[in-house]
Amino acid sequence: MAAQTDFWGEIVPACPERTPLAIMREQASLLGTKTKNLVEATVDTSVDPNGQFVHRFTLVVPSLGSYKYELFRIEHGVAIYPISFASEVPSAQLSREPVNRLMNPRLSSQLETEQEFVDWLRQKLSSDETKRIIANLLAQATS
Amino acid sequence: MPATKFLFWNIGRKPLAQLVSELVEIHGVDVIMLAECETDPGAMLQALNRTPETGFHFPASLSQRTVIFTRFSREFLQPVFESERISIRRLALPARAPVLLATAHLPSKLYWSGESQAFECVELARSIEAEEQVAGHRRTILVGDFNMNPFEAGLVSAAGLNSVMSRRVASRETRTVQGREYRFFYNPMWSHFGDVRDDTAGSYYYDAGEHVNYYWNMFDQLLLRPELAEHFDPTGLNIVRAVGARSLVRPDGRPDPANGSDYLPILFEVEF
Repeated sequence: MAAQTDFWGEIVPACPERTPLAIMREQASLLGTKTKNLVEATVDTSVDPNGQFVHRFTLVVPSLGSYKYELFRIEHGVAIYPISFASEVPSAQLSREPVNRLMNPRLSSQLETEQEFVDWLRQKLSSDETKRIIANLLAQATS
Repeated sequence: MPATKFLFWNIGRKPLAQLVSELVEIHGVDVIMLAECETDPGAMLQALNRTPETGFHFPASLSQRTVIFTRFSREFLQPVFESERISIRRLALPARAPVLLATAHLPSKLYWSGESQAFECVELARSIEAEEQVAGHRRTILVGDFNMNPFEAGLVSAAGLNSVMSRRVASRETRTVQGREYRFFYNPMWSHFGDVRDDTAGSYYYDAGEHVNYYWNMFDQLLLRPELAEHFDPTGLNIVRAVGARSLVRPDGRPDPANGSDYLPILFEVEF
């Protein structure tokens, strides 16, 4: 019998500095210590029917029956970048009135590199809106 | 089984507290869910509780797109999962089986493609399934402004909300696609399409001025898991066209924003 030929060659994991999931998990692990574990964060991953990896960053309040608040969600394909995220428009812009769709960019935005993702994540986690949400959760957790 | 009466209304950022209050009083509503409500909760409570007999509460929530007021004590309606557009709450009334009440206000077609809207329903379905696992039951009421019609992919696809127009079909509880099992919702809103009752052929009218145009849409919807659908009377679900003597629709049946909102309220009862 002829020797088997290995067509695969050497397989080595792609080595981005850190995957988006690792970066999100790292940030999630830091929240508990800042809030005395009254508000924690978790990252859950699933694959949607389109084959996209979906990572959800969720705040959890153990003392409120494990109440959960999904802070944001990102998606990417097997190539990791670009990453898509859903950005929200202010509610005042929400309308079913007829408008020129070309004048209204879709909510979904893309991050092309790890640095762009890290910058976006830093802005998201340190935003006034995120601080307001965590403050409200802390207030309820301690009342 | 005792019935609880619910109202869902996208009030379109209009100051309609007084009108909501009258509607609630006339129909004996127990739980009010309002989308695009910019009225201060305190002002809404003042309008709702203008008579000593009524005692509505405002259970605080971080989900801002849909606000809820209820006759029940806040302790009976506790949030378990929220995001900006989704709120899933545990409604546990004394001597009643607990249910999950999920409200949603999904992104508009103005900003999201149909495909993105459909995938958002996949995420919503996943969140509901996760909370049903935690709750240990599947008595779930899902209501909201989906910005999609009942026939669109997000509402009907197996991985989406998997909602069907028939209680008999929904009573099968699940369907299997490619070896994966998906749980049904029953969507009674299908029965409210068309002009068999009157000229109001949906809950929202939009003349798109393009080739595909439905004119009448049903973006505001109620979905029930089979266990609740089994005892649900579809004739008790109504698209409200008037509050007392005040018509919410124009003579041609379309919503009259001058007298209410661009969107019509839906009223329904659920036994549990």
